[in-house]
Amino acid sequence: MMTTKFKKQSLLVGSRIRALRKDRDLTQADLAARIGIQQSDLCRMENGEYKVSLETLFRILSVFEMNIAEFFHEDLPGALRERDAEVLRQFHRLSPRSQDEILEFIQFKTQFEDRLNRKSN
Amino acid sequence: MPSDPIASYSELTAEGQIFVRHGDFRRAIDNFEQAVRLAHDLDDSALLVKALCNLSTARLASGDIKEAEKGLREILLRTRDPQTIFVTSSNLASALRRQGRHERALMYARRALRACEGLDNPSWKATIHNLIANIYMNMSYLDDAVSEYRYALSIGEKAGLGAQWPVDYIKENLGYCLLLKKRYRQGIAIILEALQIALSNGNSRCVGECYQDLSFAYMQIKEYPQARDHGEKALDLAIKNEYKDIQKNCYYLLGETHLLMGEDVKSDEYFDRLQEYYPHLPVLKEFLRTFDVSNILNLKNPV
Repeated sequence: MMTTKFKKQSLLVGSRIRALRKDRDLTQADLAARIGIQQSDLCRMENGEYKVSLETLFRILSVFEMNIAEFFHEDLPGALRERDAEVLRQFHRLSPRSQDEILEFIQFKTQFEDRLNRKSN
Repeated sequence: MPSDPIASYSELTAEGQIFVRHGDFRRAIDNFEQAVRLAHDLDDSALLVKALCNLSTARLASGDIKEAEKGLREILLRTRDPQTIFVTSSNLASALRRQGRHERALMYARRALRACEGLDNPSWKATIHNLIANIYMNMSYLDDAVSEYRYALSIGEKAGLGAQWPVDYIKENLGYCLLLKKRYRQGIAIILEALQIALSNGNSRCVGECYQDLSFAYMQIKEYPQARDHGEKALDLAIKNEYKDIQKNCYYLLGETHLLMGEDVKSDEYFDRLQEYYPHLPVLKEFLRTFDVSNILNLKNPV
């Protein structure tokens, strides 16, 4: 069960809303109408200057019809970071045999580090 | 109930106004609906307008915005009576504020303020400045809101209103606005004053809002047992009096507080109850469990 809290600032939420809106080719007027707020308020929300009600927050989630991983994908611990993505890209360029070798090497390194950890404890 | 219809009307109206000030909006609406019927039977247009204005005020307070707004513009267009202009403009401002139409709300609030200038009624004047401050707070113009709340309180002080209505509401709003500005200790002190006044006035709506605000404040300063206790008190009152907005806010506050206390099962219970209001949004609970949204929320924003 996940209990970790990720402290978010309103500025980050606002910039995320702006990015999603642009990604879906929505104008501020379009999105404001769908959320049920004034365009000027949405503009200030995107700049992190406007505090929202629970209703509005949930309506935003509803309008974008997405899960939380999509909403704040760059901040989730399970999300792929650039470095992880690069490792995956390189991995897929290898032959199946080389991929197996890499996996064996990872297993070897994991077991080695586990042993080290047990000793130090 | 007196047999004289005019006396009945007056009694229903006076009692209805007390119900409004005590936060008993359902009974206030019943009274004012009866007063409207009596005024119809009497064929007295002046009494009818006053009854309709009172009914609108009670419906607004209960959250029935669409019904509250009906007919107000027509009354405002026809009347020249400053009291009626004040009440209709003020109610329209309040209805528009709850729909997020802030600029229009401010326009009507200023009209109500102008109408109020000629009336010797400091409670009304304080109320309209409180409403203007509420609009500013909903727009997140917190400094402007604080100035208006303080001005509303100064009107009350000059007029010797002491601990009378609407001083409890104004202090409670000012306190919450200070919480939004992260001035937690100062906000808590003012909300505690408001709570004492609201308790002595029997204003259950304001008492509920004070408990809700205190729950939020203590959660923000990491005094979680206090946050939980005040949240539970607010929730009990909200359920008893059917204050739906406070109920939803409390489910969020209690879910969040229990989560921060490491009590995941209790937290789940409250988030589940909040989730019931939004069946079309299955991500809600997961979202709240993952992100801290307390810094971007205004629990008093109607939309």
